[in-house]
Amino acid sequence: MRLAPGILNNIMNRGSFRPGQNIFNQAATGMTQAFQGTAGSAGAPNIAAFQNPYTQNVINRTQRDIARQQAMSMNDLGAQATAAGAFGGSRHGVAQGVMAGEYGRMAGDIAAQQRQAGYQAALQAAQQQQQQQLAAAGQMGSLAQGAFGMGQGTIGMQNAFGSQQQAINQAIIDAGRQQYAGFQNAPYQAIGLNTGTLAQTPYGQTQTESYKPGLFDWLSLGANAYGAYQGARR
Amino acid sequence: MSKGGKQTTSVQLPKNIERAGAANIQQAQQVGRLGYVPYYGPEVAAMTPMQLAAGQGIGSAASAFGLPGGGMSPMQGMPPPQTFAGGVRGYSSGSIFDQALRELQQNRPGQYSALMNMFVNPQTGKMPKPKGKTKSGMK
Repeated sequence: MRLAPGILNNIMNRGSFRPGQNIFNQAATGMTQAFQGTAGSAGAPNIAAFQNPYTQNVINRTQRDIARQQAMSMNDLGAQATAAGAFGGSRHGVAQGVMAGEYGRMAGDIAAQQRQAGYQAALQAAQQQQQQQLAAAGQMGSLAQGAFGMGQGTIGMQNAFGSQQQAINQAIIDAGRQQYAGFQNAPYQAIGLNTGTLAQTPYGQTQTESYKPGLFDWLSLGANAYGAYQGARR
Repeated sequence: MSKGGKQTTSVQLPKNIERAGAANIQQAQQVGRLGYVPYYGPEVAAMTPMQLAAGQGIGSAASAFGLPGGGMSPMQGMPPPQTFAGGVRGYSSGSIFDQALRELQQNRPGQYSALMNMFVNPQTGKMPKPKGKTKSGMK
């Protein structure tokens, strides 16, 4: 079977997927070819590409055979007419005409049948090719999608691993900041320690009370003294 | 002379306690004049080479399918990271903090001076004079 140009040739040539190439480029190329293959298989079948180029030769050979058979039959007819003494007569002519017509119809029928058979074979092959092209395009699309997925998965793994590394770095940075915060807070912690120590230290207190009498105090003292004096006098 | 009498109560602390309290107050005043101590070290970890490789892969994918951003570097639009002690690569907000202070000084110099004069001079270490006296008599 002849291979039509297009996607099948690309697959056969393995020009789409090559190890080591950027997998996304390969996926894009494969997807493009899948699109092209699908579009190509949607058109009319290329029957002409599958026509047998030797069909006409076969028809010509068959026609020659029919012509030879016709010639032999004509000779036989002529011999019969001669034997009947009617060679060249009107009946001979009519018989020749009928025979020529029959042979002509037969030649035409055989040629038409041969061409019809050739067309049907070419049509079937072209349609089969279309189906194969469509299937190949679908497979190419699946492969392209798979390639894209593999690339995407690889990037995902890289990103995940890199994120783990970044997290470790962030933990180191956070630990350093924590140390610095300790340095920043050291003066305040020292004050807090002193204050707390003072608050916890037991110590005694001396309390002194003093009283300064006012006018009423003196008047009251005077009144009490007078009252005591009067009482003593009685 | 008041009409009524006046009663006064006073408490005397031991001398060592009184001295320790005064010293604590003086230290607190000194610490209070330190002001904000900024941090210039790293705060955010930078992307690792593996993450950058993933970013390049994303750019390749975009480029392969004719999408925008295909030729972009993964660091495009990102500031360059600094390398700190031990090879840790990251970002610090110290420069942003300094820039904000400069802009405050440029746009509101009076307010900036009022704030800065409350605390120690970060370049010379000169302490500002405290306002008034404490009860302990310390300045």
